[in-house]
Amino acid sequence: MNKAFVDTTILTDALIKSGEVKKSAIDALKQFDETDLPVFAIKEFKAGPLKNFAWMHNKLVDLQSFALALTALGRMSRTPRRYTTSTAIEALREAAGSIAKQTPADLVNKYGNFAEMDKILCDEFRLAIKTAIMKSWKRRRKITTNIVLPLPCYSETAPYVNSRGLIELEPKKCNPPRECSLSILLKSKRHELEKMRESIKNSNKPENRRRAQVLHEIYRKPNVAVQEKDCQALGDAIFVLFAPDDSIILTTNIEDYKPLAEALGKVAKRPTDLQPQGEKSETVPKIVN
Amino acid sequence: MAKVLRLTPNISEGVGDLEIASGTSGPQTATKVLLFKPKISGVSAGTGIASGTYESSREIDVGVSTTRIETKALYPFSHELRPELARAFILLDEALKQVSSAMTYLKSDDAISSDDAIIHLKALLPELFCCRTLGDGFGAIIIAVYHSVANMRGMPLNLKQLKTVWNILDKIRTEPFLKHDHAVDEIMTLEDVGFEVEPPHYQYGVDLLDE
Repeated sequence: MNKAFVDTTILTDALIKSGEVKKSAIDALKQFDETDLPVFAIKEFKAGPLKNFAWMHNKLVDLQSFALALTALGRMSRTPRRYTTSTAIEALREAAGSIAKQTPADLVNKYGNFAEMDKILCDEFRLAIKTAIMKSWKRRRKITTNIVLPLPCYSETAPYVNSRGLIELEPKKCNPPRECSLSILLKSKRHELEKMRESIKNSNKPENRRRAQVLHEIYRKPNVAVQEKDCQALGDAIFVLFAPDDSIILTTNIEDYKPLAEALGKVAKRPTDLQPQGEKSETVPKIVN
Repeated sequence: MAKVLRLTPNISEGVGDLEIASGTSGPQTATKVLLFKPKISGVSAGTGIASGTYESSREIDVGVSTTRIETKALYPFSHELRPELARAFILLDEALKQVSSAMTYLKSDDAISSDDAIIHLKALLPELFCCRTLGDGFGAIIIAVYHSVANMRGMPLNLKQLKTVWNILDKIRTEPFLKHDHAVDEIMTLEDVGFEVEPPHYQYGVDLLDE
């Protein structure tokens, strides 16, 4: 049985990306007999990429201008994955292929500013984002064969549009009555936590330093309650810790996952690391859909 | 058991949804009508989102018939009150005609005429998008159909794809004020038949927004 434990990056690529990136994620999932998605990934997806998408939608509602919204996006965005910020912004500004480019100028006489280029671009992008957000939520539990590791302290509430036309995503965080609902499971694997901590304690990345700190605290103080912010900081470690030993951890973030996985004798792979369908592999059985 | 009819005008003027609040299919008798009093504000206008309260009318006897009513008949003053609705009906009729022609030609092995009909369809979609004040459901579907066709990059549509496009355009022809959430379900049917529904520049935005 060929199994994958799916992380948030794969969920994001499959649900909200487009083109080759999306196809790569979906094709990778199809290469496994079983694919497990922990609810933690859904929580991270909503609090991360979906939050940013909702912000962009609401910015377009607020500014009613594509040009102004792009300026705001350029200021807010972090380092993109595939393109430089300037390339991405320029491509957005150009908006080649937009419906706006095919709208005759004389329609402005009939439809007013709804036929103006910037307004069309604004609404086109806003609706594409809004649709992507709602589509992704409807599909979030349908791209893998199993949903695992439920989070009783997390309410999986659907995004909705408020009376002002803005998208609301609350709640994005867990609301545990006393401590994180994963704490019992986390504390039962203290030695694994310490192994993972050893593998990243010398990392320069602030995210890994925070992660190592939390791992150490749970290991040293098993009687102290694990809070929501601790669970959030653990991030990648949650996936590595709870992935079954006989599964492959599927992620695009191999740089952060590899040391954690190796510390526990587990395997993490990117979609591009997998054997293409049709080729024989000695370690992974060929999957035929 | 008293049945209740709710008359819910869309926040824009002159149109409304009539639903039976409780009951089953078939002829029924309602005894009370609840009239929806919308609250209209600047930011909510044009979003197709209504907020407000229901006020109860005096008790009346209302018979509900099963006669089918044409969509246009539900909006008798559309030319005056919502000219974009009237225009949308005209354009959607033309769009459906083009897609029907495309299907007929394809079934007759005339791929060129079929593709030409879709070129005509694509050309009228920008003006249809100008009617998006009807609501986000309407706008989202037009954008999705436009980019579904555009992202084919000149390749012809197959019969399944043509039928799906026809179905989705017919849906908004019947329900021009379709809620966005229901429109998403329809858009997903486009993806199910192999269409890419997002604008080409969407991928750059996604890359910037993905943490």
